[in-house]
Amino acid sequence: MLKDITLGQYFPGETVIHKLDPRTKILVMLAYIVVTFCVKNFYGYIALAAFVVVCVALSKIPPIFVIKGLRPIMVFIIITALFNLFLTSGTVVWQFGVLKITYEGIRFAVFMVLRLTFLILGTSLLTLTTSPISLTDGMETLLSPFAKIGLPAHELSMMMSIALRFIPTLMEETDKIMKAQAARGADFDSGNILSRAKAMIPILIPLFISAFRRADELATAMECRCYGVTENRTSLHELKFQKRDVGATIAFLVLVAVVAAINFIPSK
Amino acid sequence: MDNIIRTENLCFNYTDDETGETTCVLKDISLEIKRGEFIAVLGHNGSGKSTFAKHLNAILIPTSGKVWVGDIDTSDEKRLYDIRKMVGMVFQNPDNQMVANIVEDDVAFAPENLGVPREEIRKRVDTALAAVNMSEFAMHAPHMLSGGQKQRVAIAGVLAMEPEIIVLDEPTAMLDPNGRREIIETVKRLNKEKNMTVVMITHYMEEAVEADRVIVIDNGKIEMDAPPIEVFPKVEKMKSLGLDTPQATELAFLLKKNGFDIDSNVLSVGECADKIEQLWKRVMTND
Amino acid sequence: MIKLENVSYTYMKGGPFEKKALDNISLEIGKGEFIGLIGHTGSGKSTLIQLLNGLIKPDCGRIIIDGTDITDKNTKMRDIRFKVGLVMQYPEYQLFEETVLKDISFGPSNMGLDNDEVKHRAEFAANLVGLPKELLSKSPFDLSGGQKRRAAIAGVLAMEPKVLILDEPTAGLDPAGRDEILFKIKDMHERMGLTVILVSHSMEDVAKLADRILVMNKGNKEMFDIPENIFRNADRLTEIGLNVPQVTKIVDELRHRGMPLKEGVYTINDGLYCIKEALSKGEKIC
Repeated sequence: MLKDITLGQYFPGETVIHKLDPRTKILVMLAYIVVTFCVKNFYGYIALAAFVVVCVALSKIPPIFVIKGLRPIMVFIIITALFNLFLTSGTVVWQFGVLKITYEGIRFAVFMVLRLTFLILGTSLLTLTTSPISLTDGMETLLSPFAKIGLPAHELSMMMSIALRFIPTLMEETDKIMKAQAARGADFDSGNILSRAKAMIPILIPLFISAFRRADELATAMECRCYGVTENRTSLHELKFQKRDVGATIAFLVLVAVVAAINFIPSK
Repeated sequence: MDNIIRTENLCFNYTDDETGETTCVLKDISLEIKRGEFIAVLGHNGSGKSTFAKHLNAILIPTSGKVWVGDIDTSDEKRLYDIRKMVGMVFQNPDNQMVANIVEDDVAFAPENLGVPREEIRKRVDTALAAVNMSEFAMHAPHMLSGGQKQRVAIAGVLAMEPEIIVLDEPTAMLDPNGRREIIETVKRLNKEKNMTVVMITHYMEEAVEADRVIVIDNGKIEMDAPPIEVFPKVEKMKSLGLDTPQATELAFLLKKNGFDIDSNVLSVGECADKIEQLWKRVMTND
Repeated sequence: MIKLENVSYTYMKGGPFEKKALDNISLEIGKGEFIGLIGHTGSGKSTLIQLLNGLIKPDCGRIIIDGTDITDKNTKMRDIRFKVGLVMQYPEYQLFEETVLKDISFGPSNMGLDNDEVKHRAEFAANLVGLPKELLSKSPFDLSGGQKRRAAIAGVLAMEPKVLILDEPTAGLDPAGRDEILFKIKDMHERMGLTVILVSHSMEDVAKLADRILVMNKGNKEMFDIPENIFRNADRLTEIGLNVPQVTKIVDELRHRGMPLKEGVYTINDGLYCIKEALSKGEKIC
């Protein structure tokens, strides 16, 4: 359905994972991140891997899509791994001048890679299976108790939802402005970095001006629709925990238990 | 019929922050709008017509004079949201008045703001979307819709407040002819079937022709205030105000000016053709 | 001047939203012609003008502009853009410089001309669109809506293109502003001998100005003829969702009712003349 705008990396679907309450998914995700850092040995990662594989399979998202999520962060993973590899002290396995690799280094590096990989795989599964809108809804509800201590939960989610709403509009606009300037002979693809950056000015200035104009008009339109009239805003959408949310939580708790148990197994 | 909007010697001055210059945008506007009326406000750019519209739901407050909506004085800050709820505003650019990225969420925005209970919101959203014939698009993303469809969603978003008056500020200026037709049909239907009071700012005379009453604003003052059939046949006056008249009216007017005995009070193609045919039959029988 | 041979273009080729925007279009436009381009949203008219300007490339077919095949791989697109000036819809949104003069100079300075020539061209273009000299040192964002629009048009004119394409140049303007812009375009066309392609939703505007009208429908060339012949087919125009001038409808209606009036009337004056003749003589003259 078109409701599911192809923004970010949302992969529309009707599976159990898609239908989970966004709050469940966000909370499980947060706990999952903690778990990835608590795993102490390789068996633990096998358990994590099993969990992720089952989730991906249930979500019916092509695994390649999930793995793609790793690409932008690959460099970061490699650098972290290298640092761990060369800068950890311990039993030396290999040495060349100042460069040395220790047994502990290898162990740390492999752990780091696994940790980050599972972290990314897990989080991208959240964004892949949850539409930006329900993500915003979920976050707002989860954060709303903190409103009492001054956290602007509603404002944050409103900002997010407006940003989501305007990204396609601004993208369209960028395309139009680029074409208009290209028609005036602007050259975006040649020259060094400096001249390329300079070539962006004729696009950025009109884009900013238009964005501010839009913001201004939107603010008036929102006021005209009584935004801010009452503290007790209601919502068309109702988030309801269902059986499957309980199921998901239990499944996750099982993972936690398994990881905890595995952590007591000596790692050699 | 009772008056739902009343302005009394409404004046509005605008002061430029940089130069400190004060310009008088609206001068001494006094008028009454009856419940259920469909009013078109015409005027060239900079005539003050949009400024006038913004006074109807207290976006702007008169520098001097008064505006009453129902029995509320718009300068009464405590009643601001009562006014906003009563007078729905639709603006020119449909993109810049939508907050949500699903149509039905956007329509729900106003009732959510008002703290309407969930079941009631559901009902209002469905009714509002049905009223603008957009029910089947409830789950669509706004950026996938055509201009006319977006603008209809914007109207639905206002209807969900259950206002008594809708003010539309050049709602068709950015639309293509199809979109324009969609909007004008929608507005006419709301006016006829739901007895909604409509104030529409426009500079397309073919839209103004559909109204019960046309108010022409020029240079901040009311130049004309009469039914379309009395306004448009004043072809020369309209031209001098920088406005168009329907070609049908102009043709009849020109024939009259050329010495033919024709009633130039026509607005539509059919009326104009009828009058010319009558004239022609008279000429033929005289021969 | 412009020649299209079997040009087709598809949007989002291969994707789920694939859409044929232009289907095997061939046409020729002569030097100095004033062409009105009409069609409703999605008819392919925007695609067509972007092709002419080299902003997008056709799937197949050839586009020859002033003797250069712009679909040829070796043709430099930027040169084509200087030759074919394109004024996009709401062009005032592309203004970005500190002063109006600098903004108008953006195009010519991209051509690599020397400063004197750039300034000369910019001032000349500003004059053509009727922007007073004292406005040139102002910020473009301080101008009125109509002035901004004219400044943006000047920005394209200053490149001294041989073909000028304008996409809905009157959108959002009031009747007076609209007439002024249209008058300026006509004036430029006559004074500079420019080939003009005017895209518009308004049949009335196009009818007043164009030598020939190109009607697009669903990616196809529906009609391409002189206005008189176009408006002979008022029924077909209505069928494909286009507006026919009221005067055409009135004259057609009266002809159906038996009045001796000619076909293809599209201006008020023409309509008036022919009705006057019929009324005073009572016989078929025109």
